[in-house]
Amino acid sequence: MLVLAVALSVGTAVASVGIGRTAALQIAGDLAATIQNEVTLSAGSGADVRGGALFPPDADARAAHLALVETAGTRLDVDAATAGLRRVGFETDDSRRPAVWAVSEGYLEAIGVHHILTWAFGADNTQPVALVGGRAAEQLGVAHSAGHSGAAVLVGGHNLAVVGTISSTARNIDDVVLVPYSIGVTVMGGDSSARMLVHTAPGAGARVASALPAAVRPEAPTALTASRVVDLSTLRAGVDSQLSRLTGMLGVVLLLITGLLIGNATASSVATRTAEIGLRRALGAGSSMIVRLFLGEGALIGLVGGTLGSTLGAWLVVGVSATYNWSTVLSLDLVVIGVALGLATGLLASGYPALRVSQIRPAEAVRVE
Amino acid sequence: MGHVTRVIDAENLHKRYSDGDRTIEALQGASLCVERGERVAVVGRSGAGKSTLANILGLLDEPDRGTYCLLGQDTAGLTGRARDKLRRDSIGFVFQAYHVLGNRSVWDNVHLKLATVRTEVAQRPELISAALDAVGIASHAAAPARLLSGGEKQRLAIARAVVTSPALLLADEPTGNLDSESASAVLHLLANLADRGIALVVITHDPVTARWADRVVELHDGQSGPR
Repeated sequence: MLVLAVALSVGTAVASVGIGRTAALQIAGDLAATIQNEVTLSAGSGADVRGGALFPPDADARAAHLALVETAGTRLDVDAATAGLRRVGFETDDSRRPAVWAVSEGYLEAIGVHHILTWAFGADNTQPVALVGGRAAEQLGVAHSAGHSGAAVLVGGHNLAVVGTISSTARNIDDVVLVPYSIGVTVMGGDSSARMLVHTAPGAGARVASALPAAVRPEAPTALTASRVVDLSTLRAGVDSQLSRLTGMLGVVLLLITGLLIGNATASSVATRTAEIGLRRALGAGSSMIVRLFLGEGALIGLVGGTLGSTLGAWLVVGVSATYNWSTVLSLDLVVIGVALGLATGLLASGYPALRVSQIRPAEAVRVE
Repeated sequence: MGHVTRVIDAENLHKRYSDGDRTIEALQGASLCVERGERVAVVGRSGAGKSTLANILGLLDEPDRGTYCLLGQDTAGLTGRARDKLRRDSIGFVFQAYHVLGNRSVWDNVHLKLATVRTEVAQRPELISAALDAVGIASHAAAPARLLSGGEKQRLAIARAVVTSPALLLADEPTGNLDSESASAVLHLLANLADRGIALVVITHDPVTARWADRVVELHDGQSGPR
């Protein structure tokens, strides 16, 4: 058992260094991936300030034609005053007006919106349709219309039929009304404030960003500028996951070592107390009583160790947080779990030695001096 | 059960041990009867089967063949728990190596027996005091047992063995590690116990102890002399 304990200790030291480096690489990879697979294209220093179109009608197709580009779409936000959004035949409270985005079919695909009528947002179509987010539908009072039949909204004087309620996993569009890009350009009188969202293959953001302006506006690449977007929620989830795996695995290994040490201590205790075991059996103690004695000692070691360890660990968290000016994250549940883990480890570790005790023949044990 | 006068009734005991390829016939038909208050010495050369006989009489081991009745109860077929209980209630042990717990006090060593038997807590102080008084070491009650002399440790072991007034006291070479004066004191104590009705079986090489006994049973190659 001692050999195993040493092996685990050394293994933990090696593993902690190795796993730490591996986790760091994974985290770096997650970081690289989240900042290098999304590019935004918007007006650059060379944009035509006299109101010419920023994006050509086939801008999405030109961008999608680039290698390593997965999806591309344009979006123009219609400001509230210009949009004057309301449901046809109803008055809408100004404070509850949803936002209006004019988007291309490619943009809907980029943000993960799937609807049977997304084709109506294509460059070749100028269908007077609108898609609404869930909360936007409630605000406009169209949520309970069966199939939204007959419901329509006014955007900048354009009468648009509401053809569905949608949601997105990539963007929060609950409070948004989506209308075709071309209608938005008409309402806004131009697309100088529009931007294109481009999804690339993982890690290809930098290369695509450098080629994108020229691909979309070959005659005036400086009219557009590309910037990379960091998806912080995905990054955070990735880092959390890698760190949790790392610390969790180290914790398991340390508990295993502790279990082996307790088991070894209990086994040694059994070996050195054989004469005492024989005495107790001679006095009339049953084997189960002896087993309970050693299990109890193991449990006590685990309980006291777990309590001290949890307390020390908690103080360490507070101390380290104070040293580096971090906000301490420590729940009472974790401390209680630590104590319980110590108790469980002590009980489990002393199980095998206690079992050995039950097999000691009292006639032999009493002869040990 | 009533008041049984015959404490031990063992007939034709056989016990065999295997040690790798070797087979040892430790007992080959040993028999023994002991009455209440009787002092019996079991003598014999090394390897004659004395310790094996003591283990069987003390319910620490079981014979392969033969019968052993303790206080009229046949011990054959008893479950492990039943044997533990019978040993706990009816038998006291004194060993050559004393087997006291050195890190515990004299008081705690005697208390260990009462705790094992689960005597009423309120009764324990009086019983322990009486037992220590009877063996003459009451003044050392609070002292760690490791600080006692050999003779005092053996007296402590006797106190522990008889604190619950067992019917049988098994003593394996009780004077083996003692000087003559201490050995004499221990035998005197054992005699007092016999006078109280406790049956004594003493395993011994010591001729003085053998002469002290009421009856001597000699074991030779696992077989016994007069019962």
